[in-house]
Amino acid sequence: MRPHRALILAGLLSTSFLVAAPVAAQNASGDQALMTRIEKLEAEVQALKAELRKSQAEATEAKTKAEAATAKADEAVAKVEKASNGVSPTTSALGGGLFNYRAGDVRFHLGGYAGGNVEFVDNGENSTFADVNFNPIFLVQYKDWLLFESELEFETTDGEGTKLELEYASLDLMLNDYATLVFGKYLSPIGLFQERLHPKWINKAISRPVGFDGTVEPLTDVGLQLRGGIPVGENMKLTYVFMIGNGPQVEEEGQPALEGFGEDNNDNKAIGGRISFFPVPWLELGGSAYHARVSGLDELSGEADADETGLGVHVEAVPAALEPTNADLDIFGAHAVATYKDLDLRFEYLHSKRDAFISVADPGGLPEALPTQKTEAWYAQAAYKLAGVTNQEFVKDLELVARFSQLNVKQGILFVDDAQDRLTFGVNYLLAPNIVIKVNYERRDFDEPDLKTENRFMGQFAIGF
Amino acid sequence: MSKLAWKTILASAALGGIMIAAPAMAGGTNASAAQPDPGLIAKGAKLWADNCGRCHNLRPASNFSDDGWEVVVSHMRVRANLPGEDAKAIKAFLKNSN
Ligand code: HEC
Repeated sequence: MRPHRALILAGLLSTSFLVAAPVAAQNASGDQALMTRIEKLEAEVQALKAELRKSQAEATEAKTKAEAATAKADEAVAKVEKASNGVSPTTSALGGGLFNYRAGDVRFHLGGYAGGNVEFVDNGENSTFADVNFNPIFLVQYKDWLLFESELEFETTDGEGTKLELEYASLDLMLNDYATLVFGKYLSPIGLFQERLHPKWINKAISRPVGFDGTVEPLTDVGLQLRGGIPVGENMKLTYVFMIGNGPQVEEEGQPALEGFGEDNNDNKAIGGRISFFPVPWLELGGSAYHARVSGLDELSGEADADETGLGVHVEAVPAALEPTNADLDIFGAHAVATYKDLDLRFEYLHSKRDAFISVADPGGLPEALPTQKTEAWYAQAAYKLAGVTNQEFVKDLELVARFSQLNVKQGILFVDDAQDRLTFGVNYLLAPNIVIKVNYERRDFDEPDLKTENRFMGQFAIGF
Repeated sequence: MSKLAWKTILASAALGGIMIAAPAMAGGTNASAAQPDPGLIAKGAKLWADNCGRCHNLRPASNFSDDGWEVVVSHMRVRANLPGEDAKAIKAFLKNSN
């Protein structure tokens, strides 16, 4: 029963009691009826007063709630202003994209990123490199459920002029609040680095962690993804990505190129996915898994020879005792990310295994037996923005970064010369949240005893728009 | 550049063309600017602070116009696997504060 009803009832009960008593005493008079009515009215007035008090309390509560929400918003804005180092809107206008156009329900946005590196390597025979990239991103959105996203990469290469590549191009269909279907060429969702961190303005260091570059972590694929996020309770969240793609194709030395191809050479789709759990908004824990099949080559520059029967039976005769075969390629990994205030901590581990198979390994060669390949890569990275401890000009715009990454060849003949411990230290000067100048020192200690340890000094300018 | 790259670029150009032309031919009904809901904006502010600095530095609301944020946050909704309702609240906050 609601409280004011109780009051009315109590009022009525007490009234009837007051009324009943004198009646029982046979003391009835003409005023008695009037008294009863007055008392009844009084009770009603009391009830109304109670009601009024209650709605006043409700109004106060609503006001407090609204004030709390506004305070939260203000706090978040203060946080970004600090994170963006109090950069004024004019400076950050550079971050406003290159071009924006709207026609009715269709919106077009041109953004992207660009950057340049210089690198000095000291490994006994000193050398210097420089490269520049420009990656425009095209976004076309229809209403609020369809998005086309595409990125091109223009990049200078070591001596061969410029290269243009399609990084990704996909149509994203937002099915509901919790699921989006992605169709096209996409960045691989296996591991985190490639999908989330590789753009220069985002990567806290200049190089990639060793192995997270197509060696162990796949780069792209062509196919479908189903992905989304689901709230769990008040503050927790689960996110997922499932992918199916054309999968990798074998290159020299039986090495699978972990990239998206326009057609599937062996009718064996690559499948994989990644799941993350957020127990609190600033902590992400999860893992990835991936399975693909690669087909051995019967000549190097030609098409891969798929063993479609699975029995090693081939129509064409290969002038050798060995027939190319297929091999399973399996990748799994785990990740943990904590982004708390000005601190950013990351850990990722990936393990990949390609079974032994038969393939041509050298141009012009004959198919040969290639051993099982087991490779693992991991990194741990910490970054801290000094804005968290100081307001001092310039210093507050600095971010310190340290990363250790490792590539281990546990079995096999591939990547033996790449296996290394890579230790990176860096200082980033943030001109704006999307504009950064980085200076890095990196030490690459190779597992192969013949390879000399390298000391690298690197500088980079990067902007995201 | 690969054949696939060219095919995709051409297909996307055609697609973009169709998508732009269709509503223009239909008279291009502009969705009326919805009245900002303070509760949604407050929720969006918190979600933005919690989510949008997880992979890269937080980008301030002043970076983009309403139309810019609409598209960019959709892009990020897919990239960051944000639930749709969270993306909606973040859009409301950024469009209100730019
Ligand atoms: C899961 C990691 C991740 C999260 C979380 C994330 N971003 Fe991004 N963001 C990226 C990546 C990666 C890019 C670069 C896109 C590319 O190069 O393909 C990017 C690009 C951008 C850009 C540049 C324009 C564009 O669309 O490429 C803006 C602006 C941006 N993000 C804003 C946001 C906002 C606002 C949020 C919160 C809703 C957010 N980001 C959350 C990873 C993330």
